[in-house]
Amino acid sequence: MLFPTLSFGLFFLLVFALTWSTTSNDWRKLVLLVASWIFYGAWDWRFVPLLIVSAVMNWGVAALIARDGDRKRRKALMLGGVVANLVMLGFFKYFDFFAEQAGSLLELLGVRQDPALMQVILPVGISFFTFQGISYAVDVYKGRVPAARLLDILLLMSFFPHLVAGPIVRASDLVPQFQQKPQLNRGMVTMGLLLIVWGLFKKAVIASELATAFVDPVFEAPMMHGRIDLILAAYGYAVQIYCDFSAYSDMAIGIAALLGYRFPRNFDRPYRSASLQEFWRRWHISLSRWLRDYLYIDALGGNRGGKAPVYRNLMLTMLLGGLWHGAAWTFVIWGGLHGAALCVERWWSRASLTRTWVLPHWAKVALTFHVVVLGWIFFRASSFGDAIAYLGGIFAPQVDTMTVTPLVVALILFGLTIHALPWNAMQRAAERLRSLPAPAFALGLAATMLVVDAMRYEGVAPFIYFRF
Amino acid sequence: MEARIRDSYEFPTDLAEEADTRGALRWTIGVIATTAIVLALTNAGAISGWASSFDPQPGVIALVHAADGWDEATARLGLGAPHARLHRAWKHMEQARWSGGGPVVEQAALTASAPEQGPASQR
Repeated sequence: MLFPTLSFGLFFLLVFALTWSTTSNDWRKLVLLVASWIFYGAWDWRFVPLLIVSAVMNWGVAALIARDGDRKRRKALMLGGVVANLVMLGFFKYFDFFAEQAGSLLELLGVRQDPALMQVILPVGISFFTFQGISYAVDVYKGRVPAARLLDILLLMSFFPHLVAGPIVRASDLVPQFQQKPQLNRGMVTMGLLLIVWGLFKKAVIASELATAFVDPVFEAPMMHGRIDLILAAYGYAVQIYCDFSAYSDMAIGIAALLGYRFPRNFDRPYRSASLQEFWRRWHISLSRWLRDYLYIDALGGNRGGKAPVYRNLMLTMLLGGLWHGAAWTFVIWGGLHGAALCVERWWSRASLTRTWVLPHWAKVALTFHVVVLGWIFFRASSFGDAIAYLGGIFAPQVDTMTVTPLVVALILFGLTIHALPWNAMQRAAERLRSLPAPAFALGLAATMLVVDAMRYEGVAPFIYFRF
Repeated sequence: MEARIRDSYEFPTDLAEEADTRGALRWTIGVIATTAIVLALTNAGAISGWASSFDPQPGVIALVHAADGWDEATARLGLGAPHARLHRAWKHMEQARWSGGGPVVEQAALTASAPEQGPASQR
C-alpha cells in the first residue's frame, strides 16, 4: 500500500475517523497498532509476526535492563538485545550476500562449494525497525529514556507512517507523545497537508518522470548514450533520489501530523551543502544521527583516542552505513567513498593549507555536489562493473546520441533550484494558510492535487528506500 | 552561506504562536471532506481506474460499474475537463524535443525497456 495511491487514501480516511472518534488514549493506540499491522500486512502478511516479535523482544530487553541494578548484567542484556536485532537484520538482509561471498572466497582458495543460498525474502522496512529497536535498548541502558509500556513500544516500532522507510523516530521523541492523547491545531494540520501535497508532487511528478523518461533507460544501457546524457542522468538520479526519498519522509511527517503526532525533519536541502559533513547533517538526518550516536560514538568511540582511530571510526561508520542500504558491493563502495571524502575533509580542515588556500563557498558547494553525484553512480548502478562502464562512458563515450528532453532538463533544474528556498519556506506558507476558512483552504488544496495528478506519471513506482 | 547549521531535532509541523486547538478537528474534517468531494467530482477517472485494478469478483464488478457510472456522470457535466486539459498539456511537454520535432525513436525504444511501472489503475 503506497502513500500516493487511492487505496492508501481510503485506508487513511478510515484510520483518521476511527482514531479521532475514540475517547480513550489506549483504544486510540490499539486502533493505530492494528491499522499499522494491516498496512504492513498489505505487503506480506508473513512478516507481521516478525515485526511483533522484534517489538516484544526489544520491550522485554529494555524492561529487564531497567529492573536490573547490576551494571555488568545490564550491559550484557543491552548487548544481547543489540545482537538479537543484528542477527534478525543479518539473516533477512545479508545471509545470501555473505554466503555468496564465502563461496567466492572458498573458490579462490581452491575449494569448490556451492553457496547455501536460501533466497531469503527481505521484509520491507526491516532496516528501519531494527535500528529503532537497537536505539531503544541502548537508550534505556544509557538512561536516556525510561523503559516504556509494551503497547507504546509495539506502536513505536509499528506506527505505519514511518514503518517502511523512516524517518527513524526514536523512543525519546515518540513515546512521550504516545503517553497522552494528542490534540490537533490548525498549524500542524496545515503544515501536514502541505507536506503531503509537496511530497506527492516530488514523488509522482519529479522522481517518477525523471526515472521513467530518462534516468532508468540511461543507467540500463550506458554504452548506448552519449556524454551529455550520461552526465545529465547522473544529475537526474541525484534529483530523483532526493525527490523520491524526501517525498516519503514529507508524507510520513504530514500523515503523522494529521493523526496528532510530530516527527522530526529528515531532509534539509542537502545539495546546498558546502562539505560532506554538512551533507550528512542535511541528508536522511534520522539515519545519519543514528549512525553518529549509536555507531560512531557509542560503539566505536567517536573522536576519542587520537587521529588514527578517528579516521578509522569515520571510515567504518560510513562503510557500515553503506552496507545498511543493501547487501551489495556498490553500497559498500558508496559508503567508502563518503568515508574517504569525510576523512580528507577532516584532514584538510586541520591542515595549515586551509589558511592559505581557501575555496569560495560556491566552489565548495559545487565540489561537494559532484562528490555526492559520483557516489550516486555507484549507488544506482547494478554492479561495480556497470558503475565503471558508466564513468568510462562519460570520459570516452562510444556513441554521440542525446536523448534528454527539455522537460527532463527543466525537472533536473527545478529539483536543484528548490534547494535555494529558505529552510522555513513551507512553515511560513502554512502560518498564512492556517487562518483560511476550511472550504477556501480545501479548494486550493484540491486544485493543487488535481494539477499534480494531471502531471503525474501513469502508475506509481515503489519508493527507492523501500528495498533498504 | 547558511547562517547556522541546525543540529537539534526540528519538528517541521511545529509552527510559531500556535496554542489554540479549539475547533481544529472540525476545521480539519471540513478541509479533508471538501477536498475529497472536489477531487471525486473533478477527477472521477482516477476512481474508475482504481476500481478496475482489482481482480474481478462480484463485489468488485459492482464497484467498477458504480465508479464508471460516476465517471460518465461527471464527464457529462464537464467536470473532468480541467484535469483532461492539464494532462494533455503535460503530455505535450513530455513529447517536446530540442529540435521541435516529434518523439525520438531511440528514446521511445529505450523507455519501453525501462523497469515496469505500475499500471495507471494503481492510482
